[in-house]
Amino acid sequence: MQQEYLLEVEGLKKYFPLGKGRTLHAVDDVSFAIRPGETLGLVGESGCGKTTVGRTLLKLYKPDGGRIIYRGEDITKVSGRRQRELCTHMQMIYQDPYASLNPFMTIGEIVSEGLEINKIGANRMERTAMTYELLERVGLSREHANRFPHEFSGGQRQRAGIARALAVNPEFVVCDEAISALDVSVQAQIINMLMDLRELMNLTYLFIAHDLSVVRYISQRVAVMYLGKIVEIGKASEVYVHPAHPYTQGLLGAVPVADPDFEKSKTYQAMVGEVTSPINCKPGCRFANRCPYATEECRTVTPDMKAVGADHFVACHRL
Amino acid sequence: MSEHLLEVKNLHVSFRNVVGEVKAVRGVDFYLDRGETLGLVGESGCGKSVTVQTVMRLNPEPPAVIKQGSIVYDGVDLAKLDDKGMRKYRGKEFSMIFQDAMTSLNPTTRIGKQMKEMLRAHRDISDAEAKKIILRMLTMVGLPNPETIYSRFPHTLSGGQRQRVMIAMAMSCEPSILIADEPTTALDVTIQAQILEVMNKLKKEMNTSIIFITHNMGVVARMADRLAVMYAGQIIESGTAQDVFYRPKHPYTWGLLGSMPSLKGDVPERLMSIPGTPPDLFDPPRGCGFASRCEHCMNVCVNRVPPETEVAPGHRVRCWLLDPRCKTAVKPPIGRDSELIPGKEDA
Ligand SMILES: Nc1ncnc2c1ncn2[C@@H]1O[C@H](COP(=O)(O)OP(=O)(O)OP(=O)(O)O)[C@@H](O)[C@H]1O
Ligand SMILES: Nc1ncnc2c1ncn2[C@@H]1O[C@H](COP(=O)(O)OP(=O)(O)OP(=O)(O)O)[C@@H](O)[C@H]1O
Ligand code: SF4
Ligand SMILES: [Mg+2]
Ligand SMILES: [Mg+2]
Repeated sequence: MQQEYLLEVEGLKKYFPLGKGRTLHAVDDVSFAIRPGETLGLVGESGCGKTTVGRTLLKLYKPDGGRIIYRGEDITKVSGRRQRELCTHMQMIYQDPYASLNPFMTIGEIVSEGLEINKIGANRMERTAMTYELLERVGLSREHANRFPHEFSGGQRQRAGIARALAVNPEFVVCDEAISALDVSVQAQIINMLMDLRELMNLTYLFIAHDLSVVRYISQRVAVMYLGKIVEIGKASEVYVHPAHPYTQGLLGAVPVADPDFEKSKTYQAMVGEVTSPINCKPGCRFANRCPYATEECRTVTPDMKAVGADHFVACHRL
Repeated sequence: MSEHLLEVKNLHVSFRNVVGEVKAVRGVDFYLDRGETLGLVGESGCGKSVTVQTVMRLNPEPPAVIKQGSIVYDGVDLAKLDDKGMRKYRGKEFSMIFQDAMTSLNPTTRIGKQMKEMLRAHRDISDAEAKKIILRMLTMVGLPNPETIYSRFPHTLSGGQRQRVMIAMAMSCEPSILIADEPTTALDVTIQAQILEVMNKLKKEMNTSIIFITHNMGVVARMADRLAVMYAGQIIESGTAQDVFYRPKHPYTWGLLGSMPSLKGDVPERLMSIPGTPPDLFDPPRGCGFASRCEHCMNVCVNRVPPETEVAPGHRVRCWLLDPRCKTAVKPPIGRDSELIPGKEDA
């Protein structure tokens, strides 16, 4: 049977204990669903928990609450062999291409490692050929296979990270700031490439980024996160044109435009106020400190998700 | 005599390893004046980081070798100094914010301790004073609970939080040149805007000069007074931000500006991108570095390095299309004030 959703996340929680009775609420009651072949963009403030969502989905972190349902199967608690199987279906492209590539292996070895572990390709020669093909697919050349990560630029390393993730033929890929380290022309190539691969390999993406203009090109739907919670989620065309949450509005207003006269004359309306601490969170809207419309209710009652349009939900008391 | 605070001339940097020599920087010239921001943009791998790290002499030598050129700062050619001689410039006169915050923070030392050690190595202040400055800087870059950040380890911070720690660290030394290598790449736009403001404020208050590397053309538009576009180890176009954004002359600059996704307007099926990949710097092309991807490439481009043409005062471009002998007329596809580049008659 064809499920409507490839991945469903309900009330996901990930807390980090910091000692002395303090807990950091990195992901706090997050729910969303992704259809097969769809790309959900996940944007938000640095430190709001995007990477943690991605890592928890892939079970690199143990969730502290909620459910993760993959193709109808509750995978929140699976372990052992089934978990290893799932690892080939679900892959992650990391934010930090420096830290995530083994410095003692050549790029070729890094890419073919996944093939080997998962017994893809009949023999070494076939795997080498596949590795070359993967490298070329991400815009590197086969000469690069014998070089070590430190000999590459940031962008080249990110391509290598993408090749490694794709090596095991995944169906769901978490792209964590996968293109933030790249210059715009390569960014455009990689976005086009990720979109082609989506068609070709029938991939579904959770696309984490903070560059809203990039997310707009690749995502059908967008979720905006703020301090561990999703504050707005909906069709990309809706969210970009009619942002409903004050934080989303602030985000869209802060995107710098490629026009020096305009940028230099702009008096930027910085969002004032302290960023609320994610440690030992109290009830209330977490954006209240920086929100120009905050009322007493906002500071004390956590807002629920409300529908504001077709496939468009917002957590804000004003609506 | 040069009036510039920093002047880099004909800089060539290579990396030697067992297989050969990567010619990462191949003849770069630029200067930086007091209190100005120079933006440095260009294709990934084109040598931006290597260039600025060479200015600070941060590349381990070997494998890196400065093959030619000079880096004159305050009358001293840094290219000729040894590590000991450089030490009095690094951190104090020049501070750098790295692209990869994680590898530049010590994972086993708490944030506060690292920052304090660094600060006290460069400035003669007491422990308590250092802590005060650090907490103020952490607040200034928009981190909540500076006190808790102070006592945490780097790996417990998010990518963006680490980056802000790095920025606070670099700025606490009040350097005369701040080199920022993609400092806001990991940050969301509201924090990015905040940090760009902090840097601009520092620049105004302390007359700091900034070299700002980024691939975000919006950020460059906001920050840079002047702009240098690099490709395959060379600066192929430079000028004021207005020159480069409104009247770009180099085909690579056109591609770069064209592939910038925008927030407004229709979403096209595909983003515009420059086909192909940059040349391998093990064996750099004989002629123009961009020739293999350039739709205007002529015979001469493949065989000879294009000379630098000054198309307007301070606006310099390395492209054969601008040579007085070139007969091809080209209409730049982008740029608010772009005009036809007329082909000239044979001289
Ligand atoms: N292992 C850990 N231990 C304690 N706290 C952690 C750990 N990993 C992450 N955190 C904290 O959890 C929060 C969310 O971090 P996360 O890395 O998910 O943010 P992010 O949204 O990906 O940010 P960025 O855009 O900067 O990468 C942050 O406050 C971070 O400091
Ligand atoms: N230690 C090294 N050994 C060999 N080659 C190197 C080394 N460091 C850098 N390179 C090469 O030098 C060239 C320039 O690298 P650099 O890091 O300066 O690029 P960049 O312009 O900063 O790119 P990005 O935007 O991706 O950070 C690249 O081709 C890279 O592969
Ligand atoms: S010199 Fe020739 S190949 Fe190079 S950018 Fe100009 S036209 Fe293109
Ligand atoms: Mg992250
Ligand atoms: Mg770099």
